[in-house]
Amino acid sequence: MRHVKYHHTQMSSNPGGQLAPNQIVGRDDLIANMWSVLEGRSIYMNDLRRIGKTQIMVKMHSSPPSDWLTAKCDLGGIHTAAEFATQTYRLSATALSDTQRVLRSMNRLLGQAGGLEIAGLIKLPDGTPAPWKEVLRRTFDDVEAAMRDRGSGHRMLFLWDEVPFLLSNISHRESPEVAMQVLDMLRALGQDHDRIRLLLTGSIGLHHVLTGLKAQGYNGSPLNRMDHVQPGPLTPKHGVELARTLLQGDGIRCDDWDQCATELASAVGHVPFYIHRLVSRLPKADTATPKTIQDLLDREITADTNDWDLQHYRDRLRPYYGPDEKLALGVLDAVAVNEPLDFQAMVREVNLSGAVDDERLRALLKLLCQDHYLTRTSENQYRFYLSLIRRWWRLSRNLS
Amino acid sequence: MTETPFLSHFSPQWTRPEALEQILVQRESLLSDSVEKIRESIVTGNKHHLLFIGSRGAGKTHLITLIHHRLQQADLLDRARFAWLNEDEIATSFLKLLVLIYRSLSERYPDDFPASTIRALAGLDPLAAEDKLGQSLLRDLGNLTLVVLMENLDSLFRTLPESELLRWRAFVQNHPVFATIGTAQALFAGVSERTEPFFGFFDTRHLEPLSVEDARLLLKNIARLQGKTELLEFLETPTGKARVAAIHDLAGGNPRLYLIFSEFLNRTSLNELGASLRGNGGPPTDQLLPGAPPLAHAAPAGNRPTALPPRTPHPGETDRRGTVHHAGHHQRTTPATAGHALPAFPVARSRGLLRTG
Repeated sequence: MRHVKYHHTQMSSNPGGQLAPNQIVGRDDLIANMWSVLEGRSIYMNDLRRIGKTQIMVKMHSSPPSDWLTAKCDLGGIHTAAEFATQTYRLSATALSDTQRVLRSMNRLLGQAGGLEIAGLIKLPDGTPAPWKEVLRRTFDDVEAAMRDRGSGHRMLFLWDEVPFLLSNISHRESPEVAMQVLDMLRALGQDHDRIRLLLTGSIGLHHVLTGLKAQGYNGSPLNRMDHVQPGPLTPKHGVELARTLLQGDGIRCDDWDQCATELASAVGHVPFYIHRLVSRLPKADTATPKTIQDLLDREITADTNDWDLQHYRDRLRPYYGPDEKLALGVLDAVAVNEPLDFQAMVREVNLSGAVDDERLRALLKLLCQDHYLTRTSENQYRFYLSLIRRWWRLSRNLS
Repeated sequence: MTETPFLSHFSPQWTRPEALEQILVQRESLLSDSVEKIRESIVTGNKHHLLFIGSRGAGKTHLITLIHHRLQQADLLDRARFAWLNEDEIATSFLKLLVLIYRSLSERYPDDFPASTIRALAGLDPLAAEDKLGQSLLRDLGNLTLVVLMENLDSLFRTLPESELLRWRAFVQNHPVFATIGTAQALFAGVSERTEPFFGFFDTRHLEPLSVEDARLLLKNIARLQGKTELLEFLETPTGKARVAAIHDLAGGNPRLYLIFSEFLNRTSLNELGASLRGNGGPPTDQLLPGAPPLAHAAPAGNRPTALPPRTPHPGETDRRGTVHHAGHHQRTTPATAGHALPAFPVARSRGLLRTG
């Protein structure tokens, strides 16, 4: 084994790349809170793409509390329930590999005399694929037993990324019924194994997949017993710290570091991915100022061809809201210009004709919050969830 | 007699990196920054995935050849393995992509990545083969970082279905030992649209066209490299600068065009060519100046002077014994092939201005 020692005192921008755990910053309080929640129940983490959910998982996996064992996996490439069960078994075997405990129940299933073949799928000695439900159940039983052997308080956490893709894949490759069975199985296993917790997340909201499955007859509520966590952007303090660190790490010249870092982090809503991206695109030959940072961002997000794709938030209104699309546009326009807005102000802004029922507007506002367009403040006012989306909204719709 | 350094017009990876270094203009900062990011990927847990975007002839391969070259340093060679995929090979599944990566490694590092690994996949179903090859790749890589160079990433994304893209992405996420250096001719939906699996995954950099001054520096660098002292001096004169500006109006800042021009330019031909483009007896300017199709797009891949030689060894690659492999001069562009590449350049062809200097 070759060991590499590298002293990197600075962080440089890495938009979209995989960050070393020590470079995932500003999430310590959230992570501590999540470990606390996991003492009692599993977690479903949901938020916009590129908000940093996977990075949070990476950080949790890299340094769990001493009585926790973790196994992390991106499930987006898995297309069948049998593959998923195999992957769960493998993860468990790897996580437990440094202990004396073996997966006894699984070994009984597979047979000690051989016949076990793992190449994407677990097979029984007779060559037939092992039943996936049986593999999952026995694996969970074995993990539970292993944790019990370790002593009171010991638990295992499966950090599963891209769960919605997994379910969607299974639904398409096998059938919606099998996807429903996987969901039900996970719920049942979670209830029966007190020393195992799940942390589920994904690029797309699980509720979108569930909506599709419910249309096929699914009536389960697999997330009911889970705590729902929405990480959101970094706090302004951490966002500015990250921006400043990256500006310096990338060798960007600034007349005033604090001003530039504050402006940059604020302009992209303190989302770490966007902070990395905007820093990476600042020209090194020039001296950055708050104005040049703003100008660059505006050019980037409004260019005819760009990779910020904020147009997505406009385009999805029609499929998401159907006949209420126009009302949603009115609400978002009003908030973009006048945020924060309370409900009565909203009524005045978007319901001049009095044609919109208040309850319909309340329902729409709830959906706009669920879909991360808006957020409701502690003062019961509405504002854009991300200032970056608000910025783009005003530019693209020529709002003052 | 000193031989003129070979400069491949269409496949810079076949040019000696030292020559590419000597003619580099405008992109030194981008190059050094990119090298540093991949270096960081090799020696730390931070893994970068770079994607360079530029039209045909914009200098993408030139750039990644130099990134690769600068990474061939003793302190990195023991910590990384490099897989430079042949741009003409297309993967239609993640398994095929894994095969291409492993084969590239096997050719370069046969002791570490035995060719028998791929042969052993025969007869397996695709899922089992993918699983086995993925495990073999990780095992053979050990705790090193794998730097994958992939040209025409946009083509790969067009041929890989979403289900396979998801498998690729999951593999990279589950095993953070990869760094990627990719190129594409344009920004494409697979990385720029929010609904795509690889949205935001790559650190994209657009290659800017050359300015007039960049173009003049490039021509100077080439003239210096090729020992054309008279042309070098002419490029310093006001007339020489004006002639380059005239060509720039037509070439649109495309580096490949200047490289092609350079082979046939001397002081006299540059002067005549530039004068023609300024209207001194040349064709109507609306045929030549902005608005006309950029010459870079006039050279479809099928018109490349010669096909690439067999895959082994990859150009510019240094094997473990330190031998650098390069092509011979058989790929040099001739006036005839350059003429094919420049159909929109009637004045130069009809007046016989494109001739060896």
